[in-house]
Amino acid sequence: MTTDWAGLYDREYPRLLRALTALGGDSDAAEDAAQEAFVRAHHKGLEGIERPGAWLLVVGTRELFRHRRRVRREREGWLEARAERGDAAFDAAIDRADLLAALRQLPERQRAMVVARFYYGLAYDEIAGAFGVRGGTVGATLHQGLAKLRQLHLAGKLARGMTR
Amino acid sequence: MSGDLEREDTILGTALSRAVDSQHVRETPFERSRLALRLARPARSFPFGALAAVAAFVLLLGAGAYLLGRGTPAEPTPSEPPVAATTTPAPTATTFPDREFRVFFARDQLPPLAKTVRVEVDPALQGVSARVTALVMAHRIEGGASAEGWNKIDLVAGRSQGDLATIALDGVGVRGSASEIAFLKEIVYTVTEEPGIRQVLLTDRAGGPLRLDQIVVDKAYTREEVFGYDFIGSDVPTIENDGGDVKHELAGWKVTNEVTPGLGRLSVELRALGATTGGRLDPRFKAALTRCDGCEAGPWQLRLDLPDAAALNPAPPYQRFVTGPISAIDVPHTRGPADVGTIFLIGLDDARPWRVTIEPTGNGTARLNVDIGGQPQQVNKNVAVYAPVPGADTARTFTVSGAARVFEANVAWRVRDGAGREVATGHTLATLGTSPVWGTFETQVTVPASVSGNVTLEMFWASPKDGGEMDVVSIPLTVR
Repeated sequence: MTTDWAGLYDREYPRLLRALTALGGDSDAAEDAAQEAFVRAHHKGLEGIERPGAWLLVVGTRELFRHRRRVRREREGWLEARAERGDAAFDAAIDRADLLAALRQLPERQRAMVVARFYYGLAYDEIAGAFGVRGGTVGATLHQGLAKLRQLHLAGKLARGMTR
Repeated sequence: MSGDLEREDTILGTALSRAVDSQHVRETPFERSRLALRLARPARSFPFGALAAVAAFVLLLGAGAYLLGRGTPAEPTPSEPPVAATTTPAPTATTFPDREFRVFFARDQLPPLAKTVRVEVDPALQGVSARVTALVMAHRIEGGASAEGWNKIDLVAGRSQGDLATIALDGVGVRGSASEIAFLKEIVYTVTEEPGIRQVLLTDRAGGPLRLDQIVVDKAYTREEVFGYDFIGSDVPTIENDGGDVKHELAGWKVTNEVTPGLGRLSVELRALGATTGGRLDPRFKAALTRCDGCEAGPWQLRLDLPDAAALNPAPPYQRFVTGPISAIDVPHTRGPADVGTIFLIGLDDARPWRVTIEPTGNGTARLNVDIGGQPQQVNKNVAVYAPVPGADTARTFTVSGAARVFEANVAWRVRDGAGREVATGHTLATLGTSPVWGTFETQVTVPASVSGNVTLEMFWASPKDGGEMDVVSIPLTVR
C-alpha cells in the first residue's frame, strides 16, 4: 500500500509542485498545498479517485487559493531567472519569468484551467470532469484566459517573438 | 476559432508549459512528505529492547565528541559538504536497511549540534517515532558516560497531530539538571526535524507528565524554548541600512558554522564599482528573519537583500550543511521590475538571536557579516561577546572581541577577582554606535599581576540617563 502511494507521489508530486508554484508564485505555499493535496488523496482513498493527476491538481489549486496569504510575500515581487545574463538563454529565462508573471494576473479559475490544459495536457472533457464544470465552460474559460494572456505586454512580446 | 488563432494559442500554451516546467523548485522526497507521515499513523508501540537486539549496525557520520556537553569546542567548519560514510562491520546479523537521519547532540550551555547518522531502524517506523529511535540508537552506539540516560529508554508511542508531536517514553535515565536539559534539547530538536512538527510533548507511559530526575515535563516545547537564549531571533526587527548610492559587486562570500561555539556566520565581501567618498563603501541592505513552514532548508529563513550588489553569475549552487545553525544557503538570481541585485536566503535550524555588522576592508571594499547565535550567556540585545568563551583558560593579557550597538559606541569592561572585587576596568570603541547595524570591537584586557585563578570578565555599556550598567555580559575565566 505504501508502495502505491510512494509511486503516485513520485509520479505526480514534481509536476504538481511546479504547477502550484506557477499558479501562486510562492514556493512555500505551493509546497504546503501540494503536501496537503496528497494527504487529502489518502483520506479519500486511491480507489475513489479516477484520474489522480487531475484530482491532485484541482485539490491542490483549491488549497493554494484558499490559504493564499492576504499580504503578498515580499519575494513574490521578484522573479527568479536562473540563467546567464546577456545571452539567448538569459533572454529566454526572462521571457519565461514574464510569462509566469502574466499568468498570475489571470483570474484564479482561468489560471488553473490554462495550466491543466497546457502543462498537464488534459483534454477539455478531462478538465470539465476535474473542475466539475461543463465542457463548453472549459472552452470559454480557456479562450478568455489565453486572450487576456496574449494581451499582456510581456506575454504578447513572447508570442510575437515565437511566431516570427 | 480560426486556424491562426488556434496556432497562436498552441504556441502560447507550449511556451507557458515550458515556463512552468523550468521553474526552480525544491522537491520534498516521499519519505519526508506529509503523506508518508500520514501513512505511518497510527503510531505503534515499539519496544527498544527488541530493537537493540537486532539493530546493532550503525554508521555514525562525522561522529564528533559533542555528546551531552562533554565535547571540546569546535574548530570552525566552513561550508562543509556531507561527510562520507564509514562503515562499522555489524557484530550481529542485520535485518533492516540503514536509514539516514539528522539528529542533534546537546552541548553544555549551547544549542545542540546536528549530525547526520545512518542507523538501522525498522522501515515500518516512520515520522517522529523513527527519529526518536535513530536518536536513541546513535546514543547507544556512542556509549560513554552519556549512555546511561538512554540505555533503558522505551519508546511507548509517538504520534503527530498538527504541529505537535507527542512522545510517550519510559525508562529515561538522565540524572542531574544539566543532563535533563541536554536530554530535552536533543529530543525536541531531533523530533522537530520532522516536516510540519514545531513542538514536542513528552509523556510517561500512561500519557501523564514525564518525570525526569528533577524536572517534571508537563508542557510541549519548541526549539526556541529549549535553545538557551534569552530572546528569540524573530523578535529582532528587520535590520536595514540605507547606504550610499555606489553600485557594487560581490567579491566573494562564505558560510562558516561554529565561528565560535553556537555562532554561524555569512560573510559577504563587497567591492565598489564606482568612486566612493573617502574610499568607504556603505552598502544598502535589508535583513529579516521569518518562519519558513515546510521549507526543506530549515524552519526559519533569514533573508539578506543587497539591491545594489550585482548578482553572481552564474548563480552558485544551493548548499546544505550538516551542522547548524546555518543549515542551507541559496543565492538565487533575481530580477525585479527595475533593479538587479543579490539575495541570500539562509536556512536556519532555529530562531536564535542574530545581528549584522559591516566593516571596511580596504579602499572601496567592505565585508558584511550576518552573525547568527553565539554563546547564549554572552549574547543579549545590544552586546554580543565572541571571545573569550566562558570557562576558558587565558593568559594575563587576552583579547576580547565581539559586536555591540551601544550609546556612543562605548563598550565598557571590568574584571572581578574570585571574591567579586573589581581589579581592572577599561573601555573600547565599537565601529558603530546606536544603530540597527551592529559595530564590532576588539580590545586587549590585562589582569593585574596580583590576581590569578578564577576571575570574571564583564562587558556592558553605560546608560546616558543615569550611568547605569546596561546589557551586562559576565564571562567566567581562569587566569594562568
